[in-house]
Amino acid sequence: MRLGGALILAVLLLAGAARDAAAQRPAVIVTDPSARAFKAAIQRFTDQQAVPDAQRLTELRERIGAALVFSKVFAVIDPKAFLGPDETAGLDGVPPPVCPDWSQIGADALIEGTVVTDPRGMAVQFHVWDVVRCRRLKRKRYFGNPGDVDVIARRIADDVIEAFTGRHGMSSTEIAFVSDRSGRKEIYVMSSDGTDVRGATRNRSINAFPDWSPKGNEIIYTSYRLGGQPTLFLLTRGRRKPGQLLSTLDDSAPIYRGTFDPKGIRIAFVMSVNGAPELFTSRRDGRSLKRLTRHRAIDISPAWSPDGRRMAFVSDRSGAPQLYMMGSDGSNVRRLTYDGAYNTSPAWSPDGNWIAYESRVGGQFDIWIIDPAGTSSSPLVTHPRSDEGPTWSPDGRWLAFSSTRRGNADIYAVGIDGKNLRRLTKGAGNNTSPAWGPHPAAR
Amino acid sequence: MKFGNARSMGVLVLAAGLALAVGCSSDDGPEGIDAGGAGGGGYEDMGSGVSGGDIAGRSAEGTEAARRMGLRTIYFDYDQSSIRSDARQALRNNFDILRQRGDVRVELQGNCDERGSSEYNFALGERRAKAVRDYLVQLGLSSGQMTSVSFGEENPAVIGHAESAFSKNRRVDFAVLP
Repeated sequence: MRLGGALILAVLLLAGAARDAAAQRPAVIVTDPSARAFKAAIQRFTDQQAVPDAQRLTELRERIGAALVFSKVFAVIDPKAFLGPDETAGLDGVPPPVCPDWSQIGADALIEGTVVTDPRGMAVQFHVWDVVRCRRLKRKRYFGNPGDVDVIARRIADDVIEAFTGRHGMSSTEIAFVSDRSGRKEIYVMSSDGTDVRGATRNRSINAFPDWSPKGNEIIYTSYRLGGQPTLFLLTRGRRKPGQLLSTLDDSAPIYRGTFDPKGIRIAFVMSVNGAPELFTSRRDGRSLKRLTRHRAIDISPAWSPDGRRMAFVSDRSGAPQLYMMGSDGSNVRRLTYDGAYNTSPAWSPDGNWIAYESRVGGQFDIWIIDPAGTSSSPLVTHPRSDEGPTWSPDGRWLAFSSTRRGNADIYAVGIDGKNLRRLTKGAGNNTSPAWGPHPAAR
Repeated sequence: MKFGNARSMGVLVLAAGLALAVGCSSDDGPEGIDAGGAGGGGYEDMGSGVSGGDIAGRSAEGTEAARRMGLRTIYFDYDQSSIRSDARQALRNNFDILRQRGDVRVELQGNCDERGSSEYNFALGERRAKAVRDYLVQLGLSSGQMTSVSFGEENPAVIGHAESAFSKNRRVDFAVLP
């Protein structure tokens, strides 16, 4: 079934391999046996104005193509190879595409569309066709400002991918991260291809650990901006006053890291009690406070499972930091990682099948993944310089992380098959702590 | 497998907030996910007079004053928060000074070198500060004279990627509170 719904993950089990054999383990551990790039033919959309904006139409086609290519799910066919028309004739009330014209040149998908501009803004309507089965898969319209061509193109590309694979692409997603490019550690947000970097905090203090709300409208982060102990704050879309969370809690205890539960209602966070960081959950204002860990050790890095029932975390109760698993009410704590002396930063895959983390190997960090039952773990990114802080794209196809392989820390993304490594931040200060936001369709 | 005959049209309005809001800045607290363009503008400034040496709302004056008083920095081994034998003399020295100056309150600032998980390093820095605090309390200092904070690996004393820098960053600094 070429266009199968479920991605089949073939995991190479390497149980029992010694740590010093890690260098010989293949870096590719998760493969999709049916994976090959689809091919898309993108028509030039029609503009029904008297004087069409030719530049905008060109840009729209190019941006959709660029987003598809960047995703690695699609290749784009050169319009010079088209047998069918280069430009959409029209959508409704017009004969449908002649599918063999498209399938003959190797296309799987045809994207046709129109642009209508009026005083309210720009409406882009498009269809996605499976030209092999000759069926229209999707029919959709986006409204925006005339300057939103890039934003809309990314949404269209993600929809095309969703039509063919059942999961949206990541072109319209964003990554929050920490950068010291201004001289201080501030929170920034960029598009998932590294473009469009913008500052989100500018308080000149220490800011850390951005984490998105499930709908992608808010970012929770840690800040020392009050001048005392660190605590949690909230960023929202558009310009707002910085919102402090956990207002009902005592501000004399440091709070290091917060993360929303999958429903966006409760927060898990790290708060120090008598000098020992412990895990708590509560509502946003700190009410309904539940303590999850009661151990003299350092307990940090809470990571909710996608169904909200379990929590991975890091504890050094064995003597050094390792990954642990428990119920999200703190019950049934069990250790997860036994391979390696120092394992931190757990991140659940969106489908709940994997936990990525950073593992210290010979003094530097590599990215590993482990299944939630702890039966098999394997390296994914093994560069001799440090690779840290993994975060999954919402479609589960990519991991972003921070690496010092070029000296300063930069954010990189890699496919979960270990291929297509690309650098996202380009040489401005040290860039760490990436957090990949949800797809806009979640809003 | 989504081969549905998508009859119903999905109409989506891109909220104005999605577009990059460069240009007009509002007066009320402009930090936000889309608040700043590359050029910045319209940001809220939290600290006043923040300059080099300041950290997280603390003026460099605090650690400077501590130095003038003769309070010494305490250093630690890699991944350790236990007090080294060579640090005990420095702690004795600090205890003697602070015991005679009951009017002075200090902040113990725990720090780490850049290796390791930054989140774990916040916790390790806190542990180091607490180890110093406990040692001084054991010597007889009043715990009310001390507060503590951890900066993790975010406040290196020496910028560098080798042990000569790392060893100077694994420390607890004393800072006199205003």
